Amino acid sequence: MTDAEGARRLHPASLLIDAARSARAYAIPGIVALVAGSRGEFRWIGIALLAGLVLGLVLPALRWRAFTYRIEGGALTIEQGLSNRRRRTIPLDRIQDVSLEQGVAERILGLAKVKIETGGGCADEGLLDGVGLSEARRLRQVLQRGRGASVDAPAETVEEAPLFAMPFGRVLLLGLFNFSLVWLVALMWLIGKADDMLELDWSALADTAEHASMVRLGLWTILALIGLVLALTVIGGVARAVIRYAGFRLTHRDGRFRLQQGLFARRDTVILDRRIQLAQVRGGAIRQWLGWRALEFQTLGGSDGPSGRLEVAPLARDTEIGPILDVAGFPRLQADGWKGIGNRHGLAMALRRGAPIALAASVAGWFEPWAWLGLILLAPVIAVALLATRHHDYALRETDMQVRRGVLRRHAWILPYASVQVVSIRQGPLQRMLGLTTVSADSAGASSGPRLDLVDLPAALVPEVARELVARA
Amino acid sequence: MTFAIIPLLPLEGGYVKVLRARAAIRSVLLFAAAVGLELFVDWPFPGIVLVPALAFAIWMVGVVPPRRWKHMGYAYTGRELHVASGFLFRSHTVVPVSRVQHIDIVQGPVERFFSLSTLVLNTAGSDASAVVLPGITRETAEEIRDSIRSQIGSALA
Repeated sequence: MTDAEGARRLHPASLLIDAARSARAYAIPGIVALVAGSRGEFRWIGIALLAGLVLGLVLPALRWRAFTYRIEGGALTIEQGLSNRRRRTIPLDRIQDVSLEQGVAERILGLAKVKIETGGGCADEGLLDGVGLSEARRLRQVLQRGRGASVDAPAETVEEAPLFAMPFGRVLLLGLFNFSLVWLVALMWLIGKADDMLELDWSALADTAEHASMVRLGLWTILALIGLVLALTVIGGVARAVIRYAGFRLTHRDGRFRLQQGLFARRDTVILDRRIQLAQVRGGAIRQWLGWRALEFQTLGGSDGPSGRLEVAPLARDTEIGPILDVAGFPRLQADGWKGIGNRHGLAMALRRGAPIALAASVAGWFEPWAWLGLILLAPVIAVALLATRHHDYALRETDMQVRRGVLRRHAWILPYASVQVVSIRQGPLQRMLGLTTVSADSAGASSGPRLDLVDLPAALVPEVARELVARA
Repeated sequence: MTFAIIPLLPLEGGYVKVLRARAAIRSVLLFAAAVGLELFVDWPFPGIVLVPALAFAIWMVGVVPPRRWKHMGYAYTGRELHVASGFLFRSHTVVPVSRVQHIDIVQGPVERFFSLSTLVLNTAGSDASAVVLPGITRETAEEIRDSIRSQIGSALA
C-alpha cells in the first residue's frame, strides 16, 4: 500500500491561462463601466470594475487553490471546485491512456494538460489542466505503471528510436497534397465583390479613348489575381500542414504507441495496442498515384479528437506502413486472393451517381434550355462509377477481414474479427432491383467517412459471408 | 426471409395492432393540422388538403402496418440474435452474444396495452450500437435476456 505525503496543486502559471480565459468576464463589466462612465453615473463604474476584478483575478486564484490531486491507495484522486466540491477517484488499474496536450499558451509557459482516460469512455475522465511539463511527463509514466505508484516517484527519461517520423520536407509535401480550397472560395467571393464595384467603373470608362488599354490592364490584373490566389491556396495548405504535423514522431513501447506532432500547439498522444479496433490505409487521388498513403487506427474511446480516428502515419510509403502494422499486431494487407465485388456494383454506382445529375439537368433544362449541357457531366461521372467494380474487393481471412474500395481515393481496411460488434445487411430499393446488398461490420469508435462496408454484394453471397463473419466474431 | 441467412420467426401478431395504434395517433395529429390548414387558408376548391391527408392516414393505418410486420422477423440461436425489418429499406442485423454490453426490456404504453415488449441489446459498436427487437412477448424477451446473461456471466467467471 503506498501513501503520498500530500496533495499537489497545478502549476501556478496555469493561473494566467485561467485568468485569460475568464477575461471574457471582463467584457461585461467593462462595457457596463464604459456606458456608465459616458452617462456620468460613477458609482456604476466602481461596481462594474470591482466585479471585473473579482471575476478576473480572484476567482481563478481561488479555483487554483481548490484544485488538488494525489496518488494514494492505488488510485488518483482529484479534488476541485469552489462552491460545488467534487472529488473524483480513478483507480490506477482503470487508467487506459494518459496523454499530454500543449496549446500555444501552454507551450510558452512550459505547461501541459494531462488527460486521463479510463476504458471505453469518450470524454476524459481526469484532466489536470496546467502542470509543469516535466511534472506532466513524470505523472504520465507513474500513472501508466499502475498500482504501486506514488505521487513522488521519479521520472525515467528514455528516448526511443522513432518507429515512424516525418521530416520537414515530407510535411511540406503533405501540405501540397492537401491544398486548401478555402482560398479559392475566398477568391470567388472577392471577384463577386469586385464585380459589383467595377461595374460602374467600366461603364464610365467606356467612353474614353483609353478604354482599350484599360481593358488590357484589367486582363493582366485578373490573371495576377488568379495567380496570387493560387499561390495563397498552396501556401495556406502548406502552412496548415506544418502547424499540425511538424515534428511528427511515432514510437512504440510496452504495448502502446506514442505520437508527437505540432508546431505551436504540441500534441502528445498515447494509445494502447489493445484499444485499436481496425486499421485503415487511405490514399488521395494524386498522392496514391505517386505511392503515398496514410495509415489510421480506429480506437476505442479515442483520446485524440471526437471520432476516435488516429493518424499514425499521415503520409507514408507502403514499406513504412508495413512495420507499423506489424508492431501493432495487425496483419498486413494481403497481396492477392482478393474477391471482387461483382460487375453490378459498377452499374449500381453509375445509377446512383448519374441519376441525380440527370434529374437536375432535366429539371433545369425545363427552365433554361442550355442547362441540358449539364448532361455532359454524366460522362466522366459514369466512367468513374463503372470503374468502382475494379477497385472494390474483399477477403475473409483466418483472423481478419480486409476490404478495398474507392476509385479516386483508394481505401483499404483491416478489421480483425475480434473487433466486429454487429453485422448488418441492408438493401435499398435500387439494390433490390439489381439483387444486391450492403454488408456492414460495425466496430467500436467508428466515425464519419467511407466505411468498410461491402457495397453491392450480390444477394446470393450474403448467407455465406454473413455466416463466416458471425461465426468468427 | 429476404436474405436467407437463417430461418426467422415472425413477431407476435399483436404487433400489427401496436403499429396501427401508433400510426393512428400520428394520423390524428396530421389530421388536426390538415383541418387547420383547410379552414384558415383559402384554397382553390374545398377538400384539397383534407382529402389527401385522409387518404394518407388511411394508407398509414390500414395498409402499411401489416406489410411492415410481414417483413419483420427474428431468430435467437443461443449464440447470436438476428433481427430483420423494413419493406422499402430492408435490413438484417446480427448481434453475437459475446458482444452484448447490456440489455434493456422496454414497454411503451401502447405495447403494454397489447402485452408486448421490446428487447434492446447494446454493444460497443458505433452505428449499430443498439439493436432493437420489438413486438415480442415479455416472456420471450426475458428468456432471451436470461440466456444472454448466463452466457456472458460464465465468460467473465
